[in-house]
Amino acid sequence: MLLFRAALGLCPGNFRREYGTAIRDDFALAFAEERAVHGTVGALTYALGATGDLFITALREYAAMLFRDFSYAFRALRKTPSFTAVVVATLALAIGANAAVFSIVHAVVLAPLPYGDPDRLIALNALDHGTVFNFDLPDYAEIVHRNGAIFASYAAFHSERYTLTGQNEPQDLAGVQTTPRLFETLGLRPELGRFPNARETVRGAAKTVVVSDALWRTAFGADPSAIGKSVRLDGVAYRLIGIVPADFHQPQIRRGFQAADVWTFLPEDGAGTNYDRGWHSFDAVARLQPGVSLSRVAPGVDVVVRQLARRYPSEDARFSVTATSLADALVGNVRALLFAIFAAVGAVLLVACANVANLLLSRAASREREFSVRIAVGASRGRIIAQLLVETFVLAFAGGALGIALAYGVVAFFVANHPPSIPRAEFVTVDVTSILYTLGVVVFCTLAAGLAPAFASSQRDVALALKNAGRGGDASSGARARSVLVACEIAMTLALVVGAGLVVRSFIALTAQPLGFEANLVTTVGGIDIPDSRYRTDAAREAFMTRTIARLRSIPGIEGVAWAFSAPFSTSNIGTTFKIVGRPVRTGFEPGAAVDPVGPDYFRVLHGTLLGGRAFTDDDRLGSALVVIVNETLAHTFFPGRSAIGQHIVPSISLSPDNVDPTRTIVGVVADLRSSFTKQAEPEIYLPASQLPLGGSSLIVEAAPGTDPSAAVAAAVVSLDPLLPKPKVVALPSLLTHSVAVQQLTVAALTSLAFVALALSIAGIFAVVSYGVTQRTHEFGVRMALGADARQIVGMVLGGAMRLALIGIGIGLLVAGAGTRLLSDQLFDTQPLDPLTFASVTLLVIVASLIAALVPARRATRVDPIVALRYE
Amino acid sequence: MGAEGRVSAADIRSSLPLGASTFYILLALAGGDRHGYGVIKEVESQTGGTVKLGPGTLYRLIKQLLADGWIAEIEGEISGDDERRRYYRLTPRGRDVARAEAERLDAVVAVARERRLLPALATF
Repeated sequence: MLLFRAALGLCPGNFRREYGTAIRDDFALAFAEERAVHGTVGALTYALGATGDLFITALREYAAMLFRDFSYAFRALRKTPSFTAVVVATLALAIGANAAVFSIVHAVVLAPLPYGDPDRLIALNALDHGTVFNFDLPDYAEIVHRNGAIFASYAAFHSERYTLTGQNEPQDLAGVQTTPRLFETLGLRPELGRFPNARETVRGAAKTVVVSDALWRTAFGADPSAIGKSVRLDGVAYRLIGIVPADFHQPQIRRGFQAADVWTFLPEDGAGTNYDRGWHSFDAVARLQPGVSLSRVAPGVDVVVRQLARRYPSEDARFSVTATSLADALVGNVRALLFAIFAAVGAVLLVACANVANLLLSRAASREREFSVRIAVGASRGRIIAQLLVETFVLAFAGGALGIALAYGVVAFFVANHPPSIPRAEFVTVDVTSILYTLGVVVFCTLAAGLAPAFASSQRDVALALKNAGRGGDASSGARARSVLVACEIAMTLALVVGAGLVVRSFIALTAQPLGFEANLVTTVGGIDIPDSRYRTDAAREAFMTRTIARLRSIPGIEGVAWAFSAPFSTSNIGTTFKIVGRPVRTGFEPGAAVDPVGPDYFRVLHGTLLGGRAFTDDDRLGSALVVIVNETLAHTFFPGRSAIGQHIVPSISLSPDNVDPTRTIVGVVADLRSSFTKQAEPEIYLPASQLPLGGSSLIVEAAPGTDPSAAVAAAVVSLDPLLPKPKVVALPSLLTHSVAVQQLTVAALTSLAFVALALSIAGIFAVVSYGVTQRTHEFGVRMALGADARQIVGMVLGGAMRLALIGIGIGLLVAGAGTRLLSDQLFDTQPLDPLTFASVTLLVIVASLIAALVPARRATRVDPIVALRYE
Repeated sequence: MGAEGRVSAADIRSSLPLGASTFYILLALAGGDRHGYGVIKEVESQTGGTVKLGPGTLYRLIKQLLADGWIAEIEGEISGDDERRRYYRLTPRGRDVARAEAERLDAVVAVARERRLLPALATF
């Protein structure tokens, strides 16, 4: 009985009011009759059935109501196609931008890492005096081995390039050298074969290799019997033991993910390999023991690090280790940036909703008569609100559907053109999660844009509205709501434009920095890997470089050729500590600098500026006096107020023959050659490459203006040694662009969003002022009849609009002041509260508001007093 | 629902087939005006006690039938037990619809006989 009443309570109000009594009475009669005929059990069975029936009735009544509302909404919207189109387009733009950015944020930042049980994965970060550093294997091994209670599994790895020979053409491959348990740590099973065990990685054991699914398909024809075969990498034989599944992504600490085709293995502590104590190039990941939290890591690790520092003061005195979740280590660097863009699209959505709410309010005002009639014939206020919300939902849903299509386009473009430093960007898709999110946004838009207009138009006094209908009497609540909405719009827009302005200013500051070399005419070759197996001596490798340079110089159109260990703007960098002769430093606290071994013509080809001393010559060889050139930053930092030339330093980076005195003389100082727009110039030491042969080398070629020597350079290298993979040759300007691609993306995203918001706000101001002018036609007519001139009328209208704009600007400045903090990490040489940006954006918004208000204001002056007064 | 003018046959056909419960209610009212509970009882006896309409369904359909103009509400002057009761009457249009549905079912039954699902009718 109680249940029956509850079910009745669920029925829509009008149905309940009309039939509730009858339903209750009939139920009582039938219940009594059932009890008389079939007893209590029969009566209860009947009651249960009737309750279920009533419950379903309630649902069907609601469904029917909704269906009526929807068909009514469709009819109403079809009657005003241009209104519908404007609203749907506005929402599609805003919702589409949100769906696209959400898809990106979701795939890049929010999605769990593609590894087994990723929450237990952490990255260990080596720090040298607080700055980012890498592990050497002995330190890493000691730290993880002695913390078995914390780490269930672990691995250290670094990238390595390999040349695969013996399968078709020689092929340059991205590879990873890792300790044995990388795949186990990441929770990966082989697609085929197996992963190595610890015994296989020790010195003297046969070398093993694991390859990617892609390489297995291209180089081995996806043949399962390839497992167990011998594979030659850099001329050395490896046994292929396993295939890595296609969906595996090699983690790269601080950079996201890396495509790799081969994995080779090192013993856990590097014993018996080149990678022993002092070779700091390894990233480390670990899987926590079940139930162990991240906070337990630091204490356990610190104990070992302190002991290491005591035992190896010259190596580890300034060494420290932090632990972060692997997710933070891989995608943390872009999180702030993407969230800033996410906040910006959110702001655009709010602006769009405000605009739509505004349009809906105007539309509601023009439909006053319709609502009054419906209320007069008995529709409840709730019904009118529901009806209007359904209309808004239909609009938002259509906008959402178009928005999804738009998001597909944006995401496809993003995937094709994403900056390389955004991890996982290639996996961004508009998936089910994105669509669910979009649906949520649609509901949000319905409420944000629809609630105020629905309430405003349902609360009209029936009698008043009926009397006024057809005349221009605006209910003041609608007018006020419109003004508030436009002020909010202006506030959000101002905040967005300020954000965009800051980013643009920062980008200009960033790219306007002098880099110290001529970027336009130079092409580079990123890393020719001259294999040790065939070029066994440093002399042989240098001879090859000399031959290559001679061959390149003979090509017409090539004006200069130089080579260096790493090309400008490349990410491969080596560092060293150094001592200054005559300046004792506590062991372990020597200063550090980047090291770049360069060929003789390096500074000439790059058009670097020699500030003092001399450049390297062909006479700076192995065996002659050891020399270095330092950059301006190093000279200023360590030899302030005097000349660095002639000073002696001892870089710790080793030289092949151990019996030579490593003291070097500074023979020149060059202006900073920046390795990137985004990184500050660091102290740098240049050495003649022949005095520090390190293998892999980059060619830097200057060609005649307007020519592209890329193909010729690649062909020349291969023609000298057909077993080398064809090198990639790129224009330096394209490397320049890559180095600021993330900043470019930010600029593009924020400026286009700011533009959209500004356009929407101008439309909003225009609509509100136009509407106000229409409403006040009569008033203006009277004023003009009483002698007001056009300038006074324009002044009145503009004054009203400006009051609105200034309120919006005031709020917007506060929002911007708080919001630009989100951007502070992205800004280069630009303050988050940069007064110039704030001032010019404020001015821009004022001018835009004035222009938007001017057109309707001028219309107000054309009111004919006679016409206006005739309606009185 | 002022003048319930007869409507075209095509118009009626477009409302067919009727839902089972709707048809039962029309049939019940074809036998005379009834109040809600009366309809429930009548449908029960028409169907040999197998169909007992829940009050929810009944009034939902009554609301629909009123809106369609197939039945009309009349004052409860048929006295007796309870004056507050509202009585319902089949309109001419409702009668047309019910007849059309009956004819449709008749044709269906004829097919069933042809296929020997039912014994043939004695023709003489």
